[in-house]
Amino acid sequence: MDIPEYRRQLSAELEQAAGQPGFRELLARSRRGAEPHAAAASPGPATEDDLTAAIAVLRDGEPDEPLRSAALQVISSAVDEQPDLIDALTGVLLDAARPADLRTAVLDTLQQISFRMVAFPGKRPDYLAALRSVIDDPDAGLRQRAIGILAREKDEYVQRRLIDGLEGRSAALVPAEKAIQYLGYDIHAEYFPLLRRIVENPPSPAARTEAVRLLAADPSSADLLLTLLSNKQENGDVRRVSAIGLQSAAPARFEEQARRIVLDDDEDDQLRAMSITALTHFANPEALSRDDELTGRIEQLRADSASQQVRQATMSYLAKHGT
Amino acid sequence: MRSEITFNSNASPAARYVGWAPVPVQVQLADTTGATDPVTVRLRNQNAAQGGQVEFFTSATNTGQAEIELSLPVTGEPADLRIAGVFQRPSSADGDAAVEVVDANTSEVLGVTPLMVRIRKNAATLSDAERDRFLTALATFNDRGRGRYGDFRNVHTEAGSPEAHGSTGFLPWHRNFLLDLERELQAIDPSIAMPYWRFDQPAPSLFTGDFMGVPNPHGTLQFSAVNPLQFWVTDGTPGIVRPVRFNTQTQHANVFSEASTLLLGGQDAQYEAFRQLEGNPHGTAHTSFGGSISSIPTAVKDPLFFLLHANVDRLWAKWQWHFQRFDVESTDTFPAQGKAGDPGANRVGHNLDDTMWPWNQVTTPPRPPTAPGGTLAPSPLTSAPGLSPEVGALIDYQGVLTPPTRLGFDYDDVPFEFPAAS
Ligand SMILES: [Cu+2]
Repeated sequence: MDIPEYRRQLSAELEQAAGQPGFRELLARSRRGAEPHAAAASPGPATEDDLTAAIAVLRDGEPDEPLRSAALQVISSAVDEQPDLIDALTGVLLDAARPADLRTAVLDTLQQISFRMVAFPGKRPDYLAALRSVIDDPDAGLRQRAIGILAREKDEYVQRRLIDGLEGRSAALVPAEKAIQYLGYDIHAEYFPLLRRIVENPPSPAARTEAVRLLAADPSSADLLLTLLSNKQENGDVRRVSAIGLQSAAPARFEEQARRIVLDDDEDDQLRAMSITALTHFANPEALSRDDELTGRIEQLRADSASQQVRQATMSYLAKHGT
Repeated sequence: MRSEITFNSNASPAARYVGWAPVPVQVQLADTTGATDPVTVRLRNQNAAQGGQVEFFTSATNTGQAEIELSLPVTGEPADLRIAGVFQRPSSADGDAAVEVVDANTSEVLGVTPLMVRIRKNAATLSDAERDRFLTALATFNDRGRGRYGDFRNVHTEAGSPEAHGSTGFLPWHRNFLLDLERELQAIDPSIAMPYWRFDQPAPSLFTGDFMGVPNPHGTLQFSAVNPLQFWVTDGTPGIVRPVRFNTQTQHANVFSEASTLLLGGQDAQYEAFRQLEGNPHGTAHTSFGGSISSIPTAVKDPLFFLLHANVDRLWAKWQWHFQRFDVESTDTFPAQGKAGDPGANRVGHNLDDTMWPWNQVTTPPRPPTAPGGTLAPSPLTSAPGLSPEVGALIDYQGVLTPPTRLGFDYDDVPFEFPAAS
């Protein structure tokens, strides 16, 4: 590779990218009839006028997506110098009269800014407070985004609202599987009885699988996970999630069961491939090397399993543990 | 008679990894009984058709040569030269490159030294074997939530955030964070280099059950039955939550293109302006998904974090190469010269001469109250950037201006060049 030539290619790409329309040009084009003045297309850092125009674009509920994105970009880039722009964005987010897709784009920009929000710590409480009011928004997408962000911040208010929904004390904010998933960002021992009840009496199959996933964090649920994993009549997703949970909560009990699944002729191939994979990577290599019955079985599966995944799993196993 | 090559004065095979930046090596003769005259030898790639390729530099040349002739004394006195990978001819497996030393007069092969041209690659271009080695090392390091990955997870939180974000130190801090994980993975499997997610291009092979997973309808990832990432656990809870907000099979994330990103610093390439990339594309790439990766306190729960940040770091590296921004004393390269407490200085951790948390293990305010994970993982290839590095040690990562600062990694599309003679 000729490096000077490579550099010239990149320079040409940069030159081309520099000619793409920015916020000013998009704005000028959108104002049909109005003669775009010469300064419209000129590049350069955002001015006060640009920022005022960008905020107006959002407040007007601008339908043109490229212009709207460019406006959000202008604001986002200027936030480091003018943290108060966050307030303007929060204002649009909270204005239920604006279109939901615009508010969603604004929320995504605020969340993108939150990766730098340490630079303006004073804005954080306001942002979280705004999110708390959005969790009851009629728009489901907006609601879910706000709940997700708060759940990841371990926000107690949203946790209580999610529990209330799952317990049936108030209308659910989100489907049960999402509520459980959100609670998983800050798992508390007091959730475990609720999760076990959901496993027994699930509002949906997906909610049941999510509840099983979280129960891995509960040492006293290992028996339940083992029961779910060993039951061949059980739903495949639930068995796999139980396997992963048991593998984490009680590795020795999992490995015993995984071995059984590998040896059993009458088992699900996906679960068998998964069990072989788990043993390959995490089981004690010395114990495996002494286990002639298991090694023999894995060699046999490599030769004649009908499942490509099982054969692939046996090859990794034998590459690492075979003799 | 035979010939030996030593990398970086380290005879161990663990030192036989190169990138695009030239590495000092020593060539010498051994078993010379009976011989009296110096021997002229030729060094070349054993197989020029396949595997990683290297080129050779003598101290007199700054241009790599495919073959080089040297005269070696029979006393066993070593000759110094430098070896680098040939740009865009990386290895795909450990030891798939090899330097052959032959007697220039008799063509007798005096020695063959296998090595690896180990390069951080676009994740979408990895072979199945490269991908599986990476996933295995990652899963082994996490060890079902019992391993040391938890330390990395516990560093990137609300408390640690001011050390890493919102100021000049964003890029150097994350460069070190990546390097720390990469070195830990290399201790498990030295053939691994951190792959990157090029978020401004579609990466369909990355977002599959065999690689980084596919979300189910409510966003919990599903993996193929042979993928060790299916056993991923953080904070005591299995699984990774990552709902998508773009079509990962046909689209890229809604972020600035590489070219637009490289222009953020302006035509005069100022770091202070370039670091706007912390918003778009960096923050935007994080929020192109829902789930863990879209919030600071949970982002590292999802190992895609490191592929995302490898791309952010690659963009910085590419900007540095294109605009020649390696001189740590230039404010174009890094504006926050000096250290915290100096007039006009930034927050501690964001100035050139500040050490970085957690690797400095400082837990007195304003640093966070704990410093998980200890000092930086060491490397058999280099002592840079030090176990408790200062910000400035992360900048000239290829050793362009000061060879000893070479950090031992390179990207598949960012070459090494000697400084322009001016
Ligand atoms: Cu990040």
